[in-house]
Amino acid sequence: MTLIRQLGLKAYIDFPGAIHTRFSHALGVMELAGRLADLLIARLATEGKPKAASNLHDNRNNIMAAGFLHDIGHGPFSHAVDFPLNKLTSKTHEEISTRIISEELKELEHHGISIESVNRIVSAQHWFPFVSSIVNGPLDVDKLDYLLRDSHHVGLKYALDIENFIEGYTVLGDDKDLSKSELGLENTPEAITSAEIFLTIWKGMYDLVYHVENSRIAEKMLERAILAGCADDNDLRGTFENPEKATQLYDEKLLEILQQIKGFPQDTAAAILSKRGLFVKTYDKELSVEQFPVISQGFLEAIRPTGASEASFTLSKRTCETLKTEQNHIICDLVKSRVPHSIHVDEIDSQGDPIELKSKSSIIGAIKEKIRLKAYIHPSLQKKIDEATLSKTIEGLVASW
Amino acid sequence: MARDADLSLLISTIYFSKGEIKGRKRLQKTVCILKYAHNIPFDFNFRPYFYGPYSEQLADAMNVLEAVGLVVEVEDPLPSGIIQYDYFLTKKGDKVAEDIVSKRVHDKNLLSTLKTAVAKISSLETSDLVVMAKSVIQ
Repeated sequence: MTLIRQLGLKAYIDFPGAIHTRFSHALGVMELAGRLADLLIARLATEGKPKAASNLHDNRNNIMAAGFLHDIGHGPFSHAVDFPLNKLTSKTHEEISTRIISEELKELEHHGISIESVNRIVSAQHWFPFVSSIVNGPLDVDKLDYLLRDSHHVGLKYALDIENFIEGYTVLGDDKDLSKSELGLENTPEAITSAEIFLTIWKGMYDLVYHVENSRIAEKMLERAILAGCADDNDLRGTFENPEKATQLYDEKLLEILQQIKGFPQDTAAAILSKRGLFVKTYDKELSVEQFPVISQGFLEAIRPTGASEASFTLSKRTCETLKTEQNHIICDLVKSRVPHSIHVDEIDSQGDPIELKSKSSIIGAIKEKIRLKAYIHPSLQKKIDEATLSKTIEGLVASW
Repeated sequence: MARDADLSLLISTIYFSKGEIKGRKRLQKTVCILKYAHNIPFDFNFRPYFYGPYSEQLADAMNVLEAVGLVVEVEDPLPSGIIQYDYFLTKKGDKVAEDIVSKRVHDKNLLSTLKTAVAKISSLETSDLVVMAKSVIQ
């Protein structure tokens, strides 16, 4: 983790000052997980929820360990390698994390840490949902750490007072049945306003940093370069088909390997390192029925939450075939803006259900998902394929999916 | 319908609810009951939180339908000061729903079951819907 930059390729392309690593983020998440657990233990004890308080107390070290280890299954360049890793191993980075924790960190059991609890927290499957939610949920400390850490390192001076914000956290639900409990917010103007600030920063960071264009193009090129490299090079394929080996790679090592594989992998590594020869954005349209002549139901089903990367990959392949270009010389990319998942406040409605934060705040309700379909082309295609041809091809494929 | 037909089923559900579902809670409970009590093959996973079953995947699917302009989410401020969010099919969404209902010959039985079930569920008060949703996932 000390050799993987937290912001992945963004640290190479757009934000060279962002040299912080996965390791520093992991430490931050562990620290915040401990602080939040302590705060909730004290609060629950005074709020007449002794069972929840006692459970959190017993799980405090597990929660902190999960905070430290939650990203241990990431490959080099953080999320940029998620898609090829998932495609070649059929495992998510969370599944890889839990396997590493189970098989390589058994020693933790001798230090009072339950491997099963840690894994359940990392994968949001803890018996008691509020416990998992501290590390993996809509209000998790993972987001709190990465937002402020990343914004600091890219030079954005956001002001979110974490200490003040987590003061507004609470556990919702009946103390008698913790299996249905949930991490939520106090029903106070301060907690709701702090959540609005937090979620606005979160959305802003996706627009300004995490989806910034040149880095995004480099990430998509890297995905394709790894897959092309795995098709041509047995060693690289062997590495990526084995999660244990893949997670031993680090940023510079992966680039070094790609530099040795002639063709697209080598060219991509050179483009990333020199920032020259990156693909050029040639198509960019909001994916909506107002903008697209026809969007087939099949395409819509394909782009649902877990399918956007695979749908982009297939669309890229079909576009290259239709326009008879070299494979990987046109990359289609579905970019989905982020909307917050459901967060509840400690207020009950007339049916006895807690109320969603969104129902208390128009600001949260105004954060809507947008999907853009973009295409990036190899610089050599700029004079051969015009925007109109590319547009017609892509829109035809979306309509007939 | 194939297993990857969640969005088609969701559009059809709103269509059979006369083009609108009032409230996110009503939407969640309706789909949960359709899945577990009427065997409509939604692929969404529901978790039994203390406030009743909830599916993040369903919420995500609604976000996609709204993003592409087939569904619109409208704020409906209630007298209590709480904002309720109601879902309506847009004109394009309505057209897509009509296409699904009229052209999916092989799915006629499923769509007929869905239509009947949605009619039953639509007549329930939200409080009854909440109780029923909790009971089907226990």
